[in-house]
Amino acid sequence: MAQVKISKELTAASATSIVLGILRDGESYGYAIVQRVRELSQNEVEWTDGMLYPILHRLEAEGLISARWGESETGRKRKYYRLEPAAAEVMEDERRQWTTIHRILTGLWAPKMS
Amino acid sequence: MKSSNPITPALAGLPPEIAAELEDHLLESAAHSQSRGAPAADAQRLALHQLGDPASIAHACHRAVRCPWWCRRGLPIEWRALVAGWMALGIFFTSRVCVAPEPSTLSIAVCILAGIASVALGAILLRGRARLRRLAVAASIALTALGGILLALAEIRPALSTSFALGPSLSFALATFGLLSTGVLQSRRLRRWAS
Repeated sequence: MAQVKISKELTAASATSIVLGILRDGESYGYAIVQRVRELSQNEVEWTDGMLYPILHRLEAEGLISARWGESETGRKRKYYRLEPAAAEVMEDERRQWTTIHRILTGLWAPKMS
Repeated sequence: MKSSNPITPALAGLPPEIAAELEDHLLESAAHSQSRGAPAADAQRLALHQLGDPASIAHACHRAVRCPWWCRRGLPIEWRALVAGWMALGIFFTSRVCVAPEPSTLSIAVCILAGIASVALGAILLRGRARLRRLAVAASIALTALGGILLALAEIRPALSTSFALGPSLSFALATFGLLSTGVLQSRRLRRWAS
């Protein structure tokens, strides 16, 4: 089956849900989040590395995630992000929205019985 | 010939925190490419290419955090209403100075201080820190008490309430707002959010 490339618009629309979903598994940092997106999407979602940081900073400003400076295994300064309790409600809201869209499209595209 | 490092100049002039964050990303990305056999300089150039223009990213980060309070999705709606309420209360208190027919120095000072305190509380709550709930509860209880005292004073010393331009109905409104604010802050949803 041919590989599907997700459009830029859809990638942007789903970015918040994806980032919050990844952070639900535990604290993480920029490069690791990008790698996780690639791994989960099997490269079908085209994320440029740089698009992640404005999203992380916005989510931090919105109080959905918090950040702390720590050290990498090589001793480099690294900024780690983790979910805040306020994110639970937003994630649930996003889940409902995507589920609804999925249901609508699945219904529309289901093979017609004639 | 020693290969030049393209990462450091690319991050020059950026805010230090963003520069440090992007540098960590670039170095890890480069290390990943190197582990797959790419030469160091090529790996760093590839990392920069994959990241995009650091200055544009820094600018986008700056724009992303300039989010006004009403767009902060993490704040519960009740919390936003409290922010708006306390801000409005601050303006209300300060306006008493202009409305009172013959305000005394004490009433001017009290109104301005109460106005500043209310706006400051609203501004602090804007930060969306759940641990501020207790501070807001204390302020709400204090406001309820103030409204009650003013209501009583209006009966005992009507001249005083004239000086503050706070008649019984406004004092009652203040006490009611304080009670409402306390009630909202003690609601199960906000308590759960703050926990």
